[in-house]
Amino acid sequence: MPRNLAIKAARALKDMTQKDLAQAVGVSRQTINAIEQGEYNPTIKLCRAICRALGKTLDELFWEDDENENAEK
Amino acid sequence: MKMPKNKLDEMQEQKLRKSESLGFWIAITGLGVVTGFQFGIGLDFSHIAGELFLAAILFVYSFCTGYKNGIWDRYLAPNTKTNVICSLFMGGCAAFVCWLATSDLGWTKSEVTQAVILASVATFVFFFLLSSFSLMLYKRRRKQLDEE
Repeated sequence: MPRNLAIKAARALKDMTQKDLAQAVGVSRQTINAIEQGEYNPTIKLCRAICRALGKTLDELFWEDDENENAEK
Repeated sequence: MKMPKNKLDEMQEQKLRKSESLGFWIAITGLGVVTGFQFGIGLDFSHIAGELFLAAILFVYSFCTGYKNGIWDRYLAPNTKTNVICSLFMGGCAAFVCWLATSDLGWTKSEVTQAVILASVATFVFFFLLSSFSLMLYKRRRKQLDEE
């Protein structure tokens, strides 16, 4: 799974550390790190919580290009 | 009784479930190996009854939860060919354990061979019948779930 740089960028815009974001959405820092590194697929519930915390939409943070989806397969 | 709140987040919960799942398979495999070994070194049934009982509980639990959810196995196809192959494997294991158990009893070679053949055939038939019955139940359950 490719890295999720959109979350990292959105976090930087809000001047939030991974720990701050983790606390805001109620998960561990390791989970946020795993999501950003592309090592973990969050549930839709967690995706929405992250979007709310960062003030972004699902598409802005979690949209994946077709070529990336095909590469995964 | 009120259960304590789950302190894990979703990723931690997933990792714990994976490790618990692996632990389950280590337990079942370990029980099988230990039971076979104990039988092979000549311990009688009373010594291994506890292990056999626990293994039976684990197998029954595993089957019942799989049946309830209409799941056969992660890798094995639900068909007679798979059942034959798995039953042959179990027969092979029984042959090995029987050979271990009878090799130092002072029996003649032909007596040992007869015992090994009997054990392997009986085990093959038992597991084939058991797996065929399980397959029949699974297919019926699968049909039930698909028609819901």
